[in-house]
Amino acid sequence: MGIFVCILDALLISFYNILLFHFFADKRNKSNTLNIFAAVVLGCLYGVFSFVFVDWFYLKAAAIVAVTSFLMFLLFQIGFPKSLVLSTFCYGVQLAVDYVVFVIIGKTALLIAGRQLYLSNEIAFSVGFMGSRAILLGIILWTGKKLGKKHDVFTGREWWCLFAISFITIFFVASLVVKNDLLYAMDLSSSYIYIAIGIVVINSIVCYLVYSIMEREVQLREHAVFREKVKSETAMYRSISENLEKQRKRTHEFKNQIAAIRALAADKQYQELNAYLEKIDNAMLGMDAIDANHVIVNAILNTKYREAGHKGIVFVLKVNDLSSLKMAEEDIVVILSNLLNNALEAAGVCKDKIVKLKFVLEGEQAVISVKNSMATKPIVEDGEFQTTKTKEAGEHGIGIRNVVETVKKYGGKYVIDYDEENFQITILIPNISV
Amino acid sequence: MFHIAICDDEEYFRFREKTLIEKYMADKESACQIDLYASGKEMLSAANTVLQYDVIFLDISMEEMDGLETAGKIREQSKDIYIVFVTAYITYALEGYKVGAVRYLLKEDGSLDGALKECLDTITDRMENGEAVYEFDCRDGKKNIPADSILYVESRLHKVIFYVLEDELKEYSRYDRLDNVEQKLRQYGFLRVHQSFLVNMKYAKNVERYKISMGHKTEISISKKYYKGVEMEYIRRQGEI
Repeated sequence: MGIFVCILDALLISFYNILLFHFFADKRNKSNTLNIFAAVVLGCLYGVFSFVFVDWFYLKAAAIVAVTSFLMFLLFQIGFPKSLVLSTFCYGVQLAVDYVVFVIIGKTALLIAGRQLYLSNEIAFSVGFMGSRAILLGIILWTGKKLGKKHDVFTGREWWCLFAISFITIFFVASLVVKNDLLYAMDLSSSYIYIAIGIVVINSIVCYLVYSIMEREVQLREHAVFREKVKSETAMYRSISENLEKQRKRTHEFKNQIAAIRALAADKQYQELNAYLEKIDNAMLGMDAIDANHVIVNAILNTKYREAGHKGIVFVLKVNDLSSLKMAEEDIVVILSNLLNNALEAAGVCKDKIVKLKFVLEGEQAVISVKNSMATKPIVEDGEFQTTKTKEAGEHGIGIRNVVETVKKYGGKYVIDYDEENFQITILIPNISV
Repeated sequence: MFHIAICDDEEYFRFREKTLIEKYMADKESACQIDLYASGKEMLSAANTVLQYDVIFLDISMEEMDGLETAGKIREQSKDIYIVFVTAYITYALEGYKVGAVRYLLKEDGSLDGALKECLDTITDRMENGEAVYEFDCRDGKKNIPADSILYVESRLHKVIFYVLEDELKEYSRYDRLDNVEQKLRQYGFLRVHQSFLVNMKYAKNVERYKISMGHKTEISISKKYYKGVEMEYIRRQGEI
């Protein structure tokens, strides 16, 4: 293989790497010159490695993976561990494909032309080389398209799996190659072909499995999110309509009361009149207490305020005039009811039962903050809050996830803090409609 | 020593609040003096009386002058006094927010105890944070300034410059390293936003596009390294309840 082909190959591989990463992360720098420069540097390093480490296959693999992951880490907005996984994956696939293609070509050359393939046989070699790179490109495009978009649902464990598969593949091919020179391997017993094909098949199956598991996971999650949304919204709207019903009854009653008061006043029965007024006054206590000038917010806050009262929870409120709040009603329901449900539930089972809510419009943004005391620290797994509910183990902290999704929709920001005793989430949302 | 005023036209609640507060203070082993007034007018009649109080508990529905109006008058004299509304009806007065009331308590026998405790916890916390005094030598001699009144600190040419809110924004400087100042002031809510700037997050008005605006016509750059942390602290501050 001429030096020219060697350089071309190095550049091609470096381009493939960038292509693969491109599916998983955004570039740190938009400038194309820098990216092309990085590709060239990487290509040159590959070239250098294949000359320097020509007799040390493992070292070469380690060097290539290390340099690739480092450069890609610099080039893309990706964490180093993930970068390492992707680089290992790319190199693993490259080796596996190379190995299989050349073994097969060696065999077919033997079958068709009746003679073995040697390094000097440049035509066969170029065909093999090009075929191998084409297959590699196919695999990278497929993996990138399938996994890239959804890689944010990857958990730490799944990243490890991907790493393990790639690493084992590299190690496997490397041990085959180190034992028997690549080309020499071609005329060895056909069991090598089976092994090689086996590697590729296993790789493909594992990739397919990871993909289908992820697909299902996404569906499951979407389904759960949807179910939870419907549930909280229905509950809220039911309570709102109950409130309206009460209001209607009250309006009706009001007329009767006025009539009664007028009659008592006309008869100058002031003592009875006073007693009657006292009675009405007491009846009013159960009415909506909190008024933030917003129908939906009022409905939610009053429902939750009463609930807190029943559970013996101190509910501290800070609200201001929310009449000009632009957020969609269903989003207010999602945020407030989820946060308050969680807070009331957590505070309800601890000693100092306190829930604090702040919901104010200040300038161009809304501030929503919920703080509650709690008895057990929340469980966080892979950056996601897990439920501590034992009864409804299916709904893994979906409440918070729904809230976060809604906040992001408005381009808002949030901070979650917790320690052994308190949990607080603060959200800043621009006062806009989307 | 806490100076507390309770202003309520119903005798029963005046004494009930007093008992609860005294119990709380006894539990915390803090000294307190509690004065009782039957109306807002009575409390405001003597000149400068309100200024001696740290906390004033106000009933909303009082004859002659109601709680909100009284609060407005108190605010004319001081922004620092903690005002707590205590009311029978929590028809949530938005005006309460306008006069910067720290809490809104409901005169329900069941919940008043817990709510009052939470309220006093919050006030104690805030007072402890607000009273910190930072002492340093500057070129004009020894200086004591409340940490609270420092807007930000800048480091320039081996000197640190304190921008302090007095009648207007004043500068005091001394030879020191910003790292040292940061160590002392961090506990009072100061945050490093830049190699040469340390700001009092209490005054942060907005954090956006690598800038923090501090009011008083001051805007400071945030370096990339500190940005995420500053933004999170800013959000946290907004959520203080």
